[in-house]
Amino acid sequence: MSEPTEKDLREAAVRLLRERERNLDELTVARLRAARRRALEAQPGRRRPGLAAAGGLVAAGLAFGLAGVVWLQTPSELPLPTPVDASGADLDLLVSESPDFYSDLEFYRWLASQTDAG
Amino acid sequence: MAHLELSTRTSPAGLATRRLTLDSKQALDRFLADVERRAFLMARMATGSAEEAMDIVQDSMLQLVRHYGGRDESEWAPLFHRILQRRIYDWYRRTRVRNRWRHWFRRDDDAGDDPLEQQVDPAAADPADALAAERTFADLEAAIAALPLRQQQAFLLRAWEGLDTEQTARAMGCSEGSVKTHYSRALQALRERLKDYDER
Repeated sequence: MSEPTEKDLREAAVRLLRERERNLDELTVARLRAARRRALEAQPGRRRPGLAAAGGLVAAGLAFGLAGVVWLQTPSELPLPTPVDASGADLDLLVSESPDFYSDLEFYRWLASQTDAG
Repeated sequence: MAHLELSTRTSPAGLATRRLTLDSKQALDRFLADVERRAFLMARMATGSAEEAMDIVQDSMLQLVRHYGGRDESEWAPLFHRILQRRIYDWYRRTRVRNRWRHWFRRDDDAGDDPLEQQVDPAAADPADALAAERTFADLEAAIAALPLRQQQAFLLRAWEGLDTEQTARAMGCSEGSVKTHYSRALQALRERLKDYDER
């Protein structure tokens, strides 16, 4: 038999997905629904108080770590991103982990671009 | 599916002042209801565990609402998938560390392989155990589950979510070139594996 084509594989994958979606057990469906309800009760930008302090410590640690790396490596060893390259998209994930870290990170990116330009 | 201009800029200060309106809450509910089953299946395929998958999806939904609930509706899909894929990636990293400790204490040889490239999902059970009527689906599911994580992500985001290369790259947090490579390797691996099944 000949090898399946890309189209064959994609169509088969979609059929598999539909079949698995359709046959998800009721308990799982109910748990997903409950998880969605809990998520929707969350308010944008609101963080748990206990995590705020821990997040700050983690952010500070990351900031110092990043600064150390940038400081110690030469530009040829560490290709630095331009302000508008794809690595900017990564900031969204960092922001999701620790929004307060964003402003610090912006600063270090600026510092890195200054070093790179220099 | 409507995805996809993903803005990569955000304002934490702005986020802090946003609150979900009733309309946006209903829209979020619709969006999450639409995506939650696929997300669960994707996470279960990656982790091989329904419990782990449930935790990953629940946390991804929470993170989306908490940090991006105030964003434009068109941005939710790529952001959600980005969070989801990141959560799956974190799971692999934790599993890798845990496995290393186990290897160390057991004094087994640690191959040092990157699980993102090498780890075979525990869900990749022998499809021969599947019911006869399920044979084709089981074969394909096992083949997809056995793909290295990045290949699996690229294939599922393209095939299941219908994302194009650029959108997949954003969701996976890598370059479009990497997506093309992972996707191409995934297709080749699936072809090989399914050919093997067919020849049994």
